[in-house]
Amino acid sequence: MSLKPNPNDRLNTLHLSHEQLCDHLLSLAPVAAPDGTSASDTSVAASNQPVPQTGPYLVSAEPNETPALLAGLDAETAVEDHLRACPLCASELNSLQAVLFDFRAAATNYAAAELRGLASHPSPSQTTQRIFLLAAKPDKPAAIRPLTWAIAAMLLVGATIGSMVPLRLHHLAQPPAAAGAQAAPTGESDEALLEEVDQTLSTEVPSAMKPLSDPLSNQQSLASTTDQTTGKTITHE
Amino acid sequence: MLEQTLNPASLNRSAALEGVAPIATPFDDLESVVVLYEPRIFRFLLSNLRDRDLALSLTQDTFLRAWTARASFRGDSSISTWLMRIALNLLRDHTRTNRFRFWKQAAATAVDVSDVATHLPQPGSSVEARLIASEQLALIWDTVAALSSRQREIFLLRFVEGLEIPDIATVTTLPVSTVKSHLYRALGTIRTRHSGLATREKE
Repeated sequence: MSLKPNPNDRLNTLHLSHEQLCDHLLSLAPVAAPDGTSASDTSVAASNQPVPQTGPYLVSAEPNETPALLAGLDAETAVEDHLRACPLCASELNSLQAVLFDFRAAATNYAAAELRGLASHPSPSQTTQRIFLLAAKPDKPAAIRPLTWAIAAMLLVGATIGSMVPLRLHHLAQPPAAAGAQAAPTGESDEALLEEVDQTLSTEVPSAMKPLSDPLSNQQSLASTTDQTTGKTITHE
Repeated sequence: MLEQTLNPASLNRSAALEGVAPIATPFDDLESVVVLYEPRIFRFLLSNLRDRDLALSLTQDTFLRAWTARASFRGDSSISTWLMRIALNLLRDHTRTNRFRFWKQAAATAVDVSDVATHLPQPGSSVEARLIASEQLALIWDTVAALSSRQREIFLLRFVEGLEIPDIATVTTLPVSTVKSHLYRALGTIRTRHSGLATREKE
């Protein structure tokens, strides 16, 4: 066993490590339950179970484990020696042990009182009858259960296939459809464009733009203008 | 007719008629098992859940599960350990399904630590000593609640139920070294907070 220096201790004396303190505390913790039943209670268990005749630390003792057990016992003895010599460690251990004992006692007494006082708490015989009733009543017919699972599996497979097939078809059908879709609008748009051009060309020129459409007549018109005030035509030479 | 239906012997008889050999288990005398182990299972669940009605409901579920699965009890572990394992599985199922219910209000049957403190064993102690003990209990109560669920389960199995470490390993299906590790951590947290309280009391 190696004791560790406590950083909070000014004299830097060696104290139990946390693991050593915990191990000692665990070895001291009560084994029997407060209600009298032991943790390894086999009073109602099958009587053919072997009852261990040795203490908790010697149950799995084999000849080759003896040195380890002795080392463990040595460590335990060293911890006990230290606790006798070190009031700080002993005080902390005692305090912690007392708090844990109080916690256990309070939890146990409280639970027992609650169980007695609960209005909804049935007696053991009522509990037993209820359990027999619930156990005897089949929650679901056994034949329906596999059928339910089979239908659910079929639905799942169907849904999966159904969701994948249209995507696949869509994926396959998309290139030709897309090509046709692209070709058709192009042809239509070309024809429409040509028609539009024809219409534009064949559209009658507005009167205001007529001089521009026929430059020769424009020259003649430039040569003879009308005096709007007198209404006479003036010809420029 | 009802008596015949509800009698465990008749259930075994019907199993025999179906060609299944009835196996004698300690659970054939279910009422004795309930009488003996109900307080312990209820206590463990109540310490964990801190809700009376829920603890009682899960306790009854534990015995129902034990009865329906009694054929699988081979006697490798004690009845207490086997029942505790069922209770722990039910507890974990419940915790898992209710973990994300943030909106869940505090149950009307939730346990108040001051109620628990009235059950502290203090024969002949002074008022001041009782107050200190109540304060320490409240501190440990809160600290245990703040532990991780795994640490709390193991701590309660050891320090309230008094199970040995190998039995805790069987109940929790964890290696012994892991159980010890959880106990060290839980005790470390409790030790820190407890020493802090002790220092404040001295001051």
